[in-house]
Amino acid sequence: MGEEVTSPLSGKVLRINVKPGDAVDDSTSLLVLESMKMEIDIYPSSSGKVKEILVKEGDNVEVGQVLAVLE
Amino acid sequence: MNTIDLGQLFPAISSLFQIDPTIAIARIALILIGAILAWLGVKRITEPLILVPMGLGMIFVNTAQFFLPPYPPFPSMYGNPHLAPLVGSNVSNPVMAATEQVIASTLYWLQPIYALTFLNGAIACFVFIGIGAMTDLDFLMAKPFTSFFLAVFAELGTILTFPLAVAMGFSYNDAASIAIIGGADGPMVLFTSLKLSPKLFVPITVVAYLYLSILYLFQGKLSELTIPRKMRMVRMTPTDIRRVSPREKILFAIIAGGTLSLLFPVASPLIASFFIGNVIKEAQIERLKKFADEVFLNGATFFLGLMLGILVTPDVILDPKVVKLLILGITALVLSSIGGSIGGILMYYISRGKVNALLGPAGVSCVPTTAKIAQKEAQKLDKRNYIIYHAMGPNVAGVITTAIISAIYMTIVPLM
Repeated sequence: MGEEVTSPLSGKVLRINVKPGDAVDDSTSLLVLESMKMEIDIYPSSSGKVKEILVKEGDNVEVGQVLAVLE
Repeated sequence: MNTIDLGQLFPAISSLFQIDPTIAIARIALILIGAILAWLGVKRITEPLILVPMGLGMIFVNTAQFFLPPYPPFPSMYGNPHLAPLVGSNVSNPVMAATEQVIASTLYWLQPIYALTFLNGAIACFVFIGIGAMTDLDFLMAKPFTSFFLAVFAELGTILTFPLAVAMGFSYNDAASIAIIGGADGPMVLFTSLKLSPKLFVPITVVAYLYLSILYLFQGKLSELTIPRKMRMVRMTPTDIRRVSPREKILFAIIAGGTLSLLFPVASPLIASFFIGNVIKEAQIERLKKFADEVFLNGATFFLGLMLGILVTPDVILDPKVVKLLILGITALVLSSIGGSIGGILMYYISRGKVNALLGPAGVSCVPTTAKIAQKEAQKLDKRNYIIYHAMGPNVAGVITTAIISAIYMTIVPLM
């Protein structure tokens, strides 16, 4: 079962905290988005391993855009 | 050759000993307070944008200031003696006779900025153009009823503080300026108090900014205390919000700005500035937008902080009214925050549990700080709850309701 972590907000990717292969759970901040001049941590809804990160630091993302895929 | 004594060589030092010792003590105290404020900002314990320049201004005005005899006792006026005559409070200020000394002051260089941007409230308008250029009206327009409902409740402090301040002995004009602190909108406090309380605008605005820069330290806690946990846990998804087209937003900005100006001409400079900034943003005039929200806003914020700091001279802190101001200022903000919580809780019920009550305190119009606080509080309980967009609705509505209340005060109070 994989999970696609989508962006809840539009904004800019400020920092990426994990890399492919990392084990994460629902309290791991995958990345930090800057939206409305505020830094917001993005968490997955389930535990798993990071399969792929689809954005890089500095990218502008839209609501609903897939940020990372977990497996 | 005339002999020069050390006192003349170092007037700022000798004046410490030549005048009333309480003033000397106040000067030293202000240097220390300035240093603490600047340090707190440097350390990011408080918002640095205003407090660092303000603290530095306080340090330097109080080290460089000198009062030459005959100049005792300290004249009861506000602000820097070199600038105060412009406030119109004390035109016969004796220091003005000593023109050379005035020119010698290290602070004289700021006088043009004071005269050109403070007296007419322009600096507040500059900040508002910048705020307009970084504000998204989407959320307010998508949910106008919820937004304004919450924003009105979050004005509790701006309304209740007025009678409280009158009861504590302030004039109607001053009470209204103090009450606006409850709107949590720095430039608005400056603009209103310049109009209504030219003699008290320095301490009122300084107190407002002081509390605003620590707002996030207490508003979150206050929300936790006043709003039941389950109402703070309501999950709201950002995609619920209707998309608003830029054309709609521009139209709204022009109509809302025009209507509000028509209804409340005294606040029109602020209202117009806000919507001008906003239209520049929505029309995607990138270069103007960059100018408004990066250059203009930052520049105005810097000079606002520095100038305010430089206006904090011993007379400001020695006035017994300052203690009352400190009490009323925090009362106003706490009341607004609690009002916001009440509105949030009511909205939770009205929406049958669909609206997170934390949106209420976000109606306190400190853009975007209070919306951020709401987001932080929501994420404390549920890491995947992103209410920030929803919180921006009441937040931006709060700017408008505070402008309206301030306009009502500015119109009615002088007639009372």
